Amino acid sequence: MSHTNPETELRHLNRLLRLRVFLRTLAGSTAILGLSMGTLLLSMRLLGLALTPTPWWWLTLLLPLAWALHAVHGKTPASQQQADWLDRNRHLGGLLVTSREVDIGPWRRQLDTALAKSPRQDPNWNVGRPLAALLAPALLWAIILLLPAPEPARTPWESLQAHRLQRFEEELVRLEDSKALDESEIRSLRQRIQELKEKLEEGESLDWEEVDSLDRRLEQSKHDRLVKVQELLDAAKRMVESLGLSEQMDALPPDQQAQAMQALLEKMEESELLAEIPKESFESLQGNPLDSTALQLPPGLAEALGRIDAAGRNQPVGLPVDPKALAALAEELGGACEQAAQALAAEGLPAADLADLDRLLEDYKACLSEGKGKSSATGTAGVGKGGLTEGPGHTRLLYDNETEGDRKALSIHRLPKGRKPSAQWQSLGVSRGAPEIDPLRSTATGSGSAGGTKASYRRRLSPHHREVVRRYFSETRAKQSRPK
Amino acid sequence: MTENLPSPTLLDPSDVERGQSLLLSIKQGLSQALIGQERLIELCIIALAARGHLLLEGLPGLGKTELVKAMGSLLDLHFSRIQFTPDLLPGDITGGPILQEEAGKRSFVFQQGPLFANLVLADEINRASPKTQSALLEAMQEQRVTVLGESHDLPAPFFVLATQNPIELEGTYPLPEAQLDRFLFKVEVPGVGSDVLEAILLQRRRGQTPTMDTVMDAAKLQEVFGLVDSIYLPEAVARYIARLVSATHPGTEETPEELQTCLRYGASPRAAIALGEAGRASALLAGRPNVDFTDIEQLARPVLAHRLVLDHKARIEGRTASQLIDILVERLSPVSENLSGGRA
Repeated sequence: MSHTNPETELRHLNRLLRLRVFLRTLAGSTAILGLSMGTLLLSMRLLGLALTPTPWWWLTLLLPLAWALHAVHGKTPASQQQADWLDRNRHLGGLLVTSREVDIGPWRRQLDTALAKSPRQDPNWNVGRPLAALLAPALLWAIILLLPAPEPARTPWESLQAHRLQRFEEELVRLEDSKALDESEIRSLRQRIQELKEKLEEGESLDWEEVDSLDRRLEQSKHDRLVKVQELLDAAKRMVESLGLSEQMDALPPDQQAQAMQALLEKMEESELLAEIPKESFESLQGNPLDSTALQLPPGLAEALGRIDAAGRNQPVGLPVDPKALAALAEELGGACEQAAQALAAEGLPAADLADLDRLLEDYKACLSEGKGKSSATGTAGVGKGGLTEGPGHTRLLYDNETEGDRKALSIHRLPKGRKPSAQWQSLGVSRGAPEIDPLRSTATGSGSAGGTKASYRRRLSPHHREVVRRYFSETRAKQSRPK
Repeated sequence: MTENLPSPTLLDPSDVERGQSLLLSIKQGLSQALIGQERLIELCIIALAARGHLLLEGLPGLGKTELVKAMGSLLDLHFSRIQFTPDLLPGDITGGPILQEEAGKRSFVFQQGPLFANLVLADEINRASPKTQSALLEAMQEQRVTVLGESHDLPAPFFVLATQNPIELEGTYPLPEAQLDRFLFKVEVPGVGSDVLEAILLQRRRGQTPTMDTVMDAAKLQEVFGLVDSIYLPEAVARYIARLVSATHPGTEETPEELQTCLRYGASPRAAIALGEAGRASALLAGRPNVDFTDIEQLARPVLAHRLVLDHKARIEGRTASQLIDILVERLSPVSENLSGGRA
């Protein structure tokens, strides 16, 4: 008896029908959208593609909502239809329908009475239909969710940052292979790169400053390494000069030689280049009769020479100072420096730094050849400069341009990752076996450039040849001086 | 033409109540004459109020003639009965010119036939020849008779209440479609049950109908007609009538599939008009100021059934027009039952 107002009943029916139209259309459009989007997503999953950018995909969920709202206005039965339905199903005898066309006046009370007598009833609604419509897309999405999800999509900036980090990592591998940087520095850089990569994978935003700082740090490390090499070259240069001076003076006090040696060894220790020098080069320093004043060996070198006592103390020892051995050591040191410099040059140092390094190397080579000349020549001036000539044997022997028969010279070198052989290299063939490289030979010959051949000549052949030449001329001079 | 239409206002409840009481008084009187046939009596009253002609079809002895005679007794109208036989001629019912001498002058004077009455009982109408049946066409539709080129208006109101027997069809002439279309209702008089028979036995002596007083004269009947005309027909109901009549034609969109192959021709616009007028009369009888969907649903069968032309398939399957109309009313809902878009 509470619902006796036809207008109230019509409003209730209208709200109910609008709600049902909204839900039915929402279910239908959601089913259509779900099927189409599900098919698209399933295809992308099968192809391994990710959804990018995700917010736009979420916005598609608004489409069914918008369509349902639109349908409420377009598909809700007209008010006349609703009145017809209410009139018939509430048994109002056509009075409600008539009231919408003419003024029913005194019949209004009868209409209200008829409404009050008939219980309220709502139009039938099959809820199963919209639910069934949602079943198909639900099954499709269940299948999609069972498939493994691809990696989360990245923004273009994040992809670019990830690419930069990957490039840094590859560069670190190259630097590690070429030993252009300290291992500790490489480890530190690699750890930092790993941290940034983990941040990216977790979806956190990465500041470009963090990425760019890596670049600066790498360049700084290269520069520091270059400075070390330069200092080492300076030390080697001073030692060669002192060696030449000692040979020239032939009676230099061992203290001066020892001081030069001390400085050299400390530089070697600092530059971590001791490992680059073959151990036999140090062995030649031992057992020399010209023991000098006791020197404090750097720990690395002391360990390499076995000068650590049983108590683990690095005791001052009498360092044998032999000009020949020192010359060999200086030459080894130069080779190591040159190799390190080449590795640095391969990593793209600034042109100014490279020029400085080249100048230092040339100075070092000049000092080395000058020292040799001074040690072998008797006069202060060289050939053509007023000095004495020692005949055809004085001519330098060159051991480059090896023939193809010299298989030992044609060794296998593993190129650093990502580097192509230069035009000076000749491809002999492709082998599937892992190349076996003698570390000693590899370090001695350098990274395989043309400069490595010359360095090998100087480190191995040239001193030996120099001794042969020296002995030859010494014997010649001795024979000539001996009475036959 | 529009000024003749009733104004779109509803009747006062008192007017409707008065019209309903007048019709109920007739119904009460007819109920005394014909026991246990309430629906048949209602249809007769509706046909009377709607100014329509009535065709009663039923087996002999069911009280068809008694019903019409009782209606003539209740209404203070000129009542005539015509027993249709095969040798009945049109002039026998319409009348004709006869030579009459008056004041020494002889002239042809039109002598009115039995058709000139307010209430005409055409008993066993299907036994007359088509020629005689056709004499009723003009009278039923235009309420006038033309004899020898001279038209004679019939008295108003003019009702034809015809009966016919569905059996003993030898020597009968089925009414043509045009003739049938002029009847507002064709009512099949049903048989009665034992309880009704018992009541008849107890209330009648030798089959004599009780004496009935006149309950309505011509003036009151005209008042009833005015009230019926003032009954409001809502647009929704009118739309339903149009859909219903349209659906009787095969090939239309709303015709049920089951009826598509059973119907050859559907009802005419005259049927739609008849349905609307009958609905108005029904609403007045029910005491309502407007026509309702239920009025149309209940009247569809007597109004439409005799206007359909069935196909051979329907005849072979033994389906009658009344059954098809019942199917049509059942399938064609006056309002959209599927408001929520779901299945009912």
